[in-house]
Amino acid sequence: MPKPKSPRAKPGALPPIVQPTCTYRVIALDPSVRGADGAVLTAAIEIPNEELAPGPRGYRVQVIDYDASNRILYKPAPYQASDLLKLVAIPERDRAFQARNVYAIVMRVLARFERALGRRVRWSFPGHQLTVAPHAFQDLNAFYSKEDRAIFFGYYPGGNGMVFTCLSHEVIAHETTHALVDGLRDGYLRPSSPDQAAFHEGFADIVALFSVLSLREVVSAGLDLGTSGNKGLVKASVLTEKALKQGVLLGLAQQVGETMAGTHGVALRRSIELPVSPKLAASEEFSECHRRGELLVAAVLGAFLKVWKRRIDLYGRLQQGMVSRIGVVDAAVDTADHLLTMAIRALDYCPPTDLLFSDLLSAMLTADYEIEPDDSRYQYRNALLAAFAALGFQPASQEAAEPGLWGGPGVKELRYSRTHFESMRHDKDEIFRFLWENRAALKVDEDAYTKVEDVMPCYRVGTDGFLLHETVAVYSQQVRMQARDLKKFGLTKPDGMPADLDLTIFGGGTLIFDESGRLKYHVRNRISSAERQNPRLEYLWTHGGFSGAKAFGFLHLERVLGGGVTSDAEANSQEEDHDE
Amino acid sequence: MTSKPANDPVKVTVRMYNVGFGDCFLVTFHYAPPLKDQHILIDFGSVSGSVNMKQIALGIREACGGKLYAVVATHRHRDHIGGFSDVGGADSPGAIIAACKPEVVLQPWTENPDAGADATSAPLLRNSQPANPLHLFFASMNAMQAYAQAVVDAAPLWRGAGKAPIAIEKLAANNTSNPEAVRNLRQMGKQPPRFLQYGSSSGLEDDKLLPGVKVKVLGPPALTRQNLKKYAKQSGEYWLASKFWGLQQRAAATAGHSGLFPREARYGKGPKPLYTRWFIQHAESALKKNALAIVTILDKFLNNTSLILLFEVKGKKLLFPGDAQLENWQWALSQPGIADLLKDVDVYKVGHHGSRNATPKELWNGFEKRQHRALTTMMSTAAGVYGRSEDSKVPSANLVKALKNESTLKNTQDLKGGKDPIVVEIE
Repeated sequence: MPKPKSPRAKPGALPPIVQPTCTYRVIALDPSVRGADGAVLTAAIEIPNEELAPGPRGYRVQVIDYDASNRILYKPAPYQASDLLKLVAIPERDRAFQARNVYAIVMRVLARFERALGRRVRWSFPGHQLTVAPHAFQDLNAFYSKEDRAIFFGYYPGGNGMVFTCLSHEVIAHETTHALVDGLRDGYLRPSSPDQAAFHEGFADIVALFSVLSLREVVSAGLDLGTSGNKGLVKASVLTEKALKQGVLLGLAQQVGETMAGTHGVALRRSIELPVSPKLAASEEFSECHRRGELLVAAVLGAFLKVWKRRIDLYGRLQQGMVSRIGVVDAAVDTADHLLTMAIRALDYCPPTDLLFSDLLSAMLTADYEIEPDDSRYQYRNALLAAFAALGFQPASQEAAEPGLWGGPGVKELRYSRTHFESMRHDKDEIFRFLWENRAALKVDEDAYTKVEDVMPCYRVGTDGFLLHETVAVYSQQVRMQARDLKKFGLTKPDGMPADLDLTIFGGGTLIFDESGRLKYHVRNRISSAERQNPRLEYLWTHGGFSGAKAFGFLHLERVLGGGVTSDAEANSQEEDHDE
Repeated sequence: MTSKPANDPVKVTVRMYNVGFGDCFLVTFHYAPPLKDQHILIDFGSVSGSVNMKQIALGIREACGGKLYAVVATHRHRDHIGGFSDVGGADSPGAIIAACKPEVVLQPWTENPDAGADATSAPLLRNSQPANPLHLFFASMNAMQAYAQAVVDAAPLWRGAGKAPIAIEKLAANNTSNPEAVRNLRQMGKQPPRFLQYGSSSGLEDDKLLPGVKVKVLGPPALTRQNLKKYAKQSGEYWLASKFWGLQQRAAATAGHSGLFPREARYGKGPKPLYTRWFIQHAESALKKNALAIVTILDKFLNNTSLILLFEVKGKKLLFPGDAQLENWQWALSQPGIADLLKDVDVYKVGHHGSRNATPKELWNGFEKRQHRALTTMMSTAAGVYGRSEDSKVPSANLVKALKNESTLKNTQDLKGGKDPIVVEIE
């Protein structure tokens, strides 16, 4: 059998690896969005530099261009450093560009997570390299699959030729976020509450949205749509919150072509158009999981608009009521970047199970407070609180000095003498020993099976300019019981639930240790918390959803088709299709 | 319309034919002479290739003495209407049934060509939202069936030439459009076919031919009633869904015929580079799983177009819900008086071959005759065809357990391939 030749790039054709980063030109939104010059709107992005194998195949992301619908494995395109910044006239026809584009955007999202969290971030599967198939299927879906360790991008014939989901910046960022968030918190795919069911889609939309809003090119193009084509100045009077929302954001969303409608529905557009009201959080319409995520996006977007506007106002007006256009763009990019950091860092401050939007809000506020205690200039935290409240969400925590922040662990005496400071920074057994020694003080339920899932050291620069070394540890708990055992934990069996029904109750917490190894935060869900567990039990019992975790590909279908899809389809989406 | 009690049927017989995975019920109302017995055939289809449908058609002809009073086709799935196909001429099962000259054929409103059931055009290319949800509904439905056909066509490529059929093929084949059966059903009745929805008059009640029999139509709900409260707000979702199915069907229909980039270098048929092999296997499996999830969704969509009929004869109630699943039932069960009406059902044709959510808890718990095991249930099914996980398996183990414990269960699986139907007699 002849051995297939493995293609090699020309020696010396790779970008010089001495630089830590390199710049790629990628699609800014999707190929249907054109810039002022009529060409496809692109953006230059900076990502970690590395010596790539043809594909491109790098240390965290590898492109394998296999088309399963047509059973074609394309050979990796030759790869040259000079290509990275090349402008492409028709991206739909350039397979090599598509591979580069998808590689670069996935890497950017990964790097963004690592920057926000101050550490390497794993994919949710056990392995280092995520496979990306830019032309995986002839299908409207694009999805991350943990068991396949891959993101599959579909393509399909649309109204104006072939639509490639691998060319949609948002779709790529959205799917990459799934692959990362599921690695940080794998309990969030479990059936729990409408909030948790909506979280993954909503959060992935937030990361996708701010990934593009932190691109100068995108905001600038949005301003052209929404306000004026003036190159240097923008009229301050058109920069109202409403105009920024209706003109810039909605304008951009409307430009985005079929790609989004086909794969992720029109959730983003709907989040922007949402008529803000504090009744929404409790409304029937938004208690459906496929719609509820829109509220999360709308809340964070509301904060973005508020801060952006505030920053524009701070710049002051030039002559004749005009504002510097660069200033307006910078303000948007910085605001998007800041909120994105808050959102990603918040994951470290969230309970590992049964997440509520109110938890996420407290986590975002706390994460931000830890980096920037003084928020008086742009008032991000204030804006976030107000935007969530405008939709009917209050922060989970009411105990700290500043509204919404998580309080401290709330325990006076913790025993540190039997654990070793250095080991606690990386050793799960050491963390478990700490938990066990302090189980009474920390109210860790003794009857539950408890497991330390992760110990992660994080580095960040403190406000005084010194390097801080904190440790984030996550533990999970579960108790398998019959419904009749619920009362032993102070929980209530929902009406009509048979006493012999087997069920599993989950709990767990996140421990954040400061640089001297003292517990600073303990964010958790207790097994025996009636306040948290009873609504979850009631919801799952009435909605018939005690079955397994959802697959991402299915979440997208559910969203496009309005949620009315069957749990059988979900089961099928996870089933092996064995030959009969 | 009241008949004299003396003219009421003396007995009702239900014949359950063994069609493997499918439904075929012949309901006979027996009258004292000089009145003639009347026969209603409810569904005639199978996805099991080994079943001899012609033989069953001949059995039906014999049982009804060559004359059917009515034919009911609950919904468009092959396992319910496949037998009505008349391809093969006068000897075909569909022609044998048509020759029994039913007075009328009953179908759900979703089959009505005047309402747009044949509309195939999906508004693929328009970005604005057309206003007619009914058109969008039918466009979606037809695109779904085209998608199923595309999956059937693509399956040989997916499984490899000469390999045994894969699980998705049967499910997809069940959802293709069955045009011959649909045409034959529209033509075979003496009267024009009736297309029914919740609350329609069935057209079966007849003082002379079928005295003492009342028939209520409990499903499917009309489009605007599927979820009245949300309908106005969500009509945009009909457009999105219709667009989705239209595009999805087109994408699937052209798959396997050409590559995207015909001029780009690719690997030949031989072994692929080592680093790609694990992934290729996974990508192929992901493709099938994704298609299976989509086909399951459209399968449920068609199930929910099922006609639900309740027969009342001399105080006995027989319930035939086709494959109606939760969403179809929800409308009827939320209507005043319906839960009460269903309390004393005597005979229940188990919905959707025993799947988990075609017998909603609310419906099952409402059947009071379970308490004295006075309820008879009839399930026409075959294991191993549909679903594999505990959640999706048909018949569902939990449901079968309940059916056995709380009712007298007649199950076509107990025929073990026998040719004669199970006969259920209701005195």
